Amino acid sequence: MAEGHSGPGLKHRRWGMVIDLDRCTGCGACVAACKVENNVPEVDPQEAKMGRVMHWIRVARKEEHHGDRTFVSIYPALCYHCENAPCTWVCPVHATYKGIDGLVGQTYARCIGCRYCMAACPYTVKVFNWLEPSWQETLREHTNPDVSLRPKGVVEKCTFCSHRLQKARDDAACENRDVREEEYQPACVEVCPAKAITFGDLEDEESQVAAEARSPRAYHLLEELGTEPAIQYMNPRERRV
Amino acid sequence: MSEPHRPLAENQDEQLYYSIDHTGPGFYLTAAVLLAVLVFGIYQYYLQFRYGLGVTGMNQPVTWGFYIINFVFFIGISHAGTLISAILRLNQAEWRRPITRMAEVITAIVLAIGGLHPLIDLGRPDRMLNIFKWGRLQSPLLWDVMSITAYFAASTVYLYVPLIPDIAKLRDRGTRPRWLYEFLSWDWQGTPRQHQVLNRAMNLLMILVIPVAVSVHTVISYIFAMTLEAGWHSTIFGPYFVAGAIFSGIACLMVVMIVFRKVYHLERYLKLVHFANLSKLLLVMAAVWFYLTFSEYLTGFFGQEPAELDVMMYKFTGPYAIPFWLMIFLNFVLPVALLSSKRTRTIPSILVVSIGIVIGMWLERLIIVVPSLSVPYVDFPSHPYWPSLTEISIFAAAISAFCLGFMLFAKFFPLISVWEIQEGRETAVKETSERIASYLPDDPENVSSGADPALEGV
Amino acid sequence: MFYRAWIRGLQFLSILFMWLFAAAILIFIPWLIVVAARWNDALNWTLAISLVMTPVYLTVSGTLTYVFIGLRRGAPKGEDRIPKRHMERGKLETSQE
Repeated sequence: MAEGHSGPGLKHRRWGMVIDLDRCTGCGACVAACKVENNVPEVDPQEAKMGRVMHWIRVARKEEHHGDRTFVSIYPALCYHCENAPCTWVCPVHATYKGIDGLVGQTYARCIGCRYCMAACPYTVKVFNWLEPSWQETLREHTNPDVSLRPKGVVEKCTFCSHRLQKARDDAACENRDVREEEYQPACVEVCPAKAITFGDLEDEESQVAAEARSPRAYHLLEELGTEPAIQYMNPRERRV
Repeated sequence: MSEPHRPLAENQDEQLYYSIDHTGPGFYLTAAVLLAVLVFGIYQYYLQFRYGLGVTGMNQPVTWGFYIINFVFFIGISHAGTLISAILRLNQAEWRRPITRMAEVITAIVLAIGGLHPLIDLGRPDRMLNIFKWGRLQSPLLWDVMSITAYFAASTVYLYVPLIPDIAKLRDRGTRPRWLYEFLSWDWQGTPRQHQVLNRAMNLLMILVIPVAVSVHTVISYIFAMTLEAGWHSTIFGPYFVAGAIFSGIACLMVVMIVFRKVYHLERYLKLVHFANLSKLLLVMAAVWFYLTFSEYLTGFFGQEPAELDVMMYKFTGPYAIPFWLMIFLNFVLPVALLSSKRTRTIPSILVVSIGIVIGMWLERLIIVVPSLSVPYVDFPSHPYWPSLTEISIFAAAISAFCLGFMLFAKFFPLISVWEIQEGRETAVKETSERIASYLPDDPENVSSGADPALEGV
Repeated sequence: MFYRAWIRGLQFLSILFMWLFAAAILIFIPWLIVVAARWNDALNWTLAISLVMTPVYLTVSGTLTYVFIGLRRGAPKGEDRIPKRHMERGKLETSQE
């Protein structure tokens, strides 16, 4: 489980995204898909009001006031799988770590729930199981068997649907080839009706995601902190009121 | 060596054994109330263990609340022991004699309570052994584990070693339980050889304990400073926390001294001069604390970084304005107002100021932890943090545990170091006069002989 | 006397306990180095901090052992080391500091 290695024979990749804010409508399909795909627990309305909603990806809303005009932008916020992730520096038990293909992993079985990584993440993308997780009965019956259910008291976050990556890697290893970019994408990417999210290998110069990452409209959130996130946003071409 | 029979000296200091000999209804009543609070807190923790951290008031983004605030607060108070005991002993300050024992006891108790708080804060305390199985020394939390354990070990030994001659006195008085005092006194008879051993050990510990203590609170500050959060990622945090710890430690020590002076009638030993000297130290620390606080906020304000400014305005004028300005008042304005002049430096006013500082320093920890979390870098819906009954009762239980620990200690050991007081009477007066004489200019005859008496033996 | 043996036993146990603590630390710190090497994660931090902390713990344990042994050795020999039980309060028969 050494960091940054893809394993025997498989080409090392750096999975990343470019999210075009011109296309994102804030519909929330990515939020719903992520919840279903990753068995993200539901939270009581009182708990949600307190601020304990569990969203691995959320539709964030940014307001900028200029004089009497207000610009509102919406963008999906999820774990950025930073190259230089502050959460990995501070974890006392190696439960969050920089793993395969540049993904920042989260090992639920080892997490002691100290929430230091949550305090250290500048993007506030990690969520915590404050109580025993629960689902509505019908949803509980249809949990995704590929993703483990978490107990109370551990931290969780977006994993770029690493279970899908694991499946793709297993298939590729069986067939003695590399993982093809088109055979792995997280649920949010797959489901977005506006095709706002481009996903792929940032280190493959011919991939679409690498091309979009080179666009002059593309930027990293909180670039000045030096975290080097794997996700870039593309500024809308016009400011919308 | 003193003669075998010194009943006069012993009778002179009989008052120091009062807490051990007399257990009145007041003691039992207080102990019962404190125990009740403690038990209730433990029950609340059981609820938290059963249902999860959801029973607290923490949320996203405020993922740390009372437990971490109290962790920093209690460990901060532990600096009382080091400063007074070690530094004053190093400086051979004679007024330390009635104070050192209580200071060392505060440290030992408060470290145990404070060190427990991060465990109380864990979401999965059943997995706490993972820290030992899979620990990462890059994490400031592990630095904490190392540092606090080292300090606890060092300060417990530093409490125990000077306690040995007093335990021997209790053994010889026949105080019950006999076996306890004989076990702990390690055959102390006051022989010159034993004194030499004790002095050597105390000298070594006195020097060792200071860097360990400084490292403890510095490392705690690094928990915050090593993240990138606005308001936390500041280089001043190390010295700031250590200064704040010494400040709150002295204040807590004064409260403890005043309370036990009243309860166990120690007025002859804890005189106004001791409190006056400590309050002068307190005043210096208030100034240092204010200076560091001012530097911190001025630097942030001048740079006008949006994230830093957001957090600062949250503290100055936002939801945390009341705690913030109350803290400034209690930590700086009140001490300076009441402790600067001799007229207002009375024991009641010192008590008020010290309690104010203990509260003010708790507020400082609140103001450091919560606002930076409440105002994240990115656009995040804001959720205020309010402590729940669980957190408040565990805090109350921690304070009860502290008081109970002290009361229990006072039941078995003297709160003032008897042998050091007697040493002070018998030998220190002469030693100090000789020392002061050595600072003064030499007589002309000695200069002509070519030898400098002050350098003899160097 | 069984009483004296019981006292000696407790004293021996307390030294043992203290060295068990020191031993635990001395096992724990190298183990952290092993874990860091296995995961190739922050090995330099681990080594640096280990080098600093180990002497501290050893010094504390060593000091306490020195005190215990030194006090036993420095006690008056040949006499009754543990004073008689029937001592009146306030009156002393052995020399005290």
